[in-house]
Amino acid sequence: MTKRFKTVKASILTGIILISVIFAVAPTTSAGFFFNLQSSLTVSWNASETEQPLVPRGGTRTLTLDITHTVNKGLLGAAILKAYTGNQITIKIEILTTPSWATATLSQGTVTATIDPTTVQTLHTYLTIAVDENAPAFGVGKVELRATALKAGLIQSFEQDFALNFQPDYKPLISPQFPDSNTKQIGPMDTATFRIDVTNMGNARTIVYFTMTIVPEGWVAIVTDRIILEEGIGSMGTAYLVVKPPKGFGYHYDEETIVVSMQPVKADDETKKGSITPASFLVESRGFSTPGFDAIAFIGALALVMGIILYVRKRKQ
Amino acid sequence: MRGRCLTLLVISIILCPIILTQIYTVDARLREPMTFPIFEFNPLGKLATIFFPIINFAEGYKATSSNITLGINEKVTFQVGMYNLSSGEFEVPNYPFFMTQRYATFEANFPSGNPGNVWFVVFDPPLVKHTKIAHDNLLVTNVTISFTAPPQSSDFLQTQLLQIKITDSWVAGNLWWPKRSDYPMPFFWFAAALTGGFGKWSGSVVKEEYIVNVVVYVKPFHAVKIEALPPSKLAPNEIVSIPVLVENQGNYNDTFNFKIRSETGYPLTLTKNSTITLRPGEQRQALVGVAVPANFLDTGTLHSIFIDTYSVEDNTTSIASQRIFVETQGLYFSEENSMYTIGFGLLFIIGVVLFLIWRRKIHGKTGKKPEKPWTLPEEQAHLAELKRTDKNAYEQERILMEDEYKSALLWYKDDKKQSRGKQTKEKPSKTESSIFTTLVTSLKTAVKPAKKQKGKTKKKPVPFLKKPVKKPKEKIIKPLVSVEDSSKEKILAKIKREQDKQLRNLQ
Repeated sequence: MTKRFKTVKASILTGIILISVIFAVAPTTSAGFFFNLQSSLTVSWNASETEQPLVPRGGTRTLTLDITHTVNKGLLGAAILKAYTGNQITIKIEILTTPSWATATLSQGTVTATIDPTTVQTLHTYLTIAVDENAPAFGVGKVELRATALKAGLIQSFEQDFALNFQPDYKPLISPQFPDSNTKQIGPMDTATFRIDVTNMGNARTIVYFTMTIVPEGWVAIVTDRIILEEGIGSMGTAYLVVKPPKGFGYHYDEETIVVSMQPVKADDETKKGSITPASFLVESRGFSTPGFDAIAFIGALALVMGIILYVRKRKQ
Repeated sequence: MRGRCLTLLVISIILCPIILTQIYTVDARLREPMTFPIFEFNPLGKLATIFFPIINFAEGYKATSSNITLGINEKVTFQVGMYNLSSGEFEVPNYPFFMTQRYATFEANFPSGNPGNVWFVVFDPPLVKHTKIAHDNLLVTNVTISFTAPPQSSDFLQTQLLQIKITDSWVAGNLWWPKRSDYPMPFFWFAAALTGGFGKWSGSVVKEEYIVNVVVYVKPFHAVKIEALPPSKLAPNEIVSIPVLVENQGNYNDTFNFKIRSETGYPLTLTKNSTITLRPGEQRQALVGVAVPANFLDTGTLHSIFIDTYSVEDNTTSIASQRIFVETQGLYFSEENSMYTIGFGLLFIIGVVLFLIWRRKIHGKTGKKPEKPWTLPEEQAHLAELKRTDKNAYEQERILMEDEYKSALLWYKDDKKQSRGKQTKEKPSKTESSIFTTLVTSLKTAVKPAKKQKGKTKKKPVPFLKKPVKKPKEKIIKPLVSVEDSSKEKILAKIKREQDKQLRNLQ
């Protein structure tokens, strides 16, 4: 009895020591000392689709997010996992941050994975990105997402954050204004100066090139070659159109339309061009022109006056 | 039996830390602190490290090129991935039997900032992974980097450090008890997992971060902004300096060369090539000197002056150009012009005076063509009276009148001929004397007619006398007629015309 009791006592002590050691070694964070069941997620997408810039106001871009799910197991996890086979694990995908100038939406914020110990499950959801017109051209836009496999029974949850980068494309857009009107009435010897204020409605630093499209014969019209508009909606630049009507001797009553065309181009990449915007100006030249005859007329008038004086004096005599 | 068990336990407790210590010594990845610090000081384990084979977990990531050169709007692609520490080449890493899967994700950071988010980095694929089934592929991704000009030119880009953060995730399987096919002595593994503590990672995801640095050298780009100016109005002979605001929108300190040329209108004198050196984002005024020629009269000409800007580093390609408008208009009396004008005016006045004198002289000389006497109303009345009273006297009177008229006509023609001859003879003498003396003499002759001529004119018969019988025919032929006489004749003719008019009115 005593011998048996001693053996039992020794066994109990050994067991206590072993269990104490095992429990001391066992990690407190794991799902279980021997089960260690935990979901694992990966999220990937076709990177070449994000490389292509997104045109502001030019529709949306939809990316396919490929989500893989698997359950990891510890020493005795396989048995439990087998028991869980066919059960569903909920995977939540949420958008954490988007740039202020972009909108991102998910086609499906929640997907479910079926537990299968032998396979890695692949699921899909779609991320749609739209870019506002104030998006800075070629500035990086980052969409931060989080995928969470929720806890299911002994299977611990898993969280994975990932970021997706994209670029807005250049959207050239200008708004010309004419603060001093686009019509003018001048004399044939005068010069008409038109101020053209151009506002940058696009999303990058823009060069606006001006060209004379229609200049009536005999008229001289010159316009500022180019102006640079800084980035940001509302940045403005001023160009000038100077028009000189024909000044041939005689009476003039000319009414002509002068057309200037404006084309926005990205300041640091002149291959990115916008559409041409025409602007027309109406100039009326009315009056008598004596170009170059002024001096002759002056001398003639002088001679005439002298002649009259001489004549009057002679008449008096 | 119990003794055996106890012996095995003791051996395990002694040996396992030795293995664990070995692992821990060379591990480059799993750096979490051990849960049993007591084993770290195991002298036996430390001794055994000399004899036991090293299990090496040391791994590393690298970029194929740690220095890249990139220009604005350019793209550069390079590779980042896991490499063999011995060979230094990208290689497929060993896939441990206890791993369920392994994946790496990438993230780009710019320690010195990314103003305007101009740097764009794409990882293709964004995630690389190894699974039990597929673990023969390289853990390598393609990195494409590009950048655009910053929105503010003061936020210029030169050399930039790109940090690529790689998160290597190990999804561990069963670390407690390996299969015999994977590890021949599972009990020892278990004992090590138990005593070493790595068994705790079973079923968990262990993440390790690596940093790969890439230096990006940004190529210089030259850009300049020239402000558009409103038109300037200049007068002839005016010299001005037109200030033009210039901003360096490039990314390095740059010296700009301006080549100035005029395009429209007549040529203006412009300042030759000038230079200005600016820091990135700096603005300063460059001066364009314009001199308008000293033209006497400019009725209004529009000029456009072209400013072509070049960087001193590349004098062949124009970076920017701008147009300046200049309108020239006005009258300018230079010293030279004044002299010319005065001279021209004097000549003109002299010419006018001479012309008037000549006209007066010629007019006085030539006089009027003689009129037929029988057409005069007085004569007509007289003839009618004679015809009625004495027909013979009437006939005689008519014959006399006709003779007188013929004689006057002959005299008129002869006078004209003589005056022409005199003019041709007088010409050489005019060239000898100065214009002034000619003028004075002609004025004298105009003002004081010769007395001799006066005397002669007194004797000279008037061609329109009522009684032609009394006037001898010889007296009619007189070469010169004074100005006074011609004026008298004019007055007489005028009186006659007035009388004619009155008569016509009365009839």
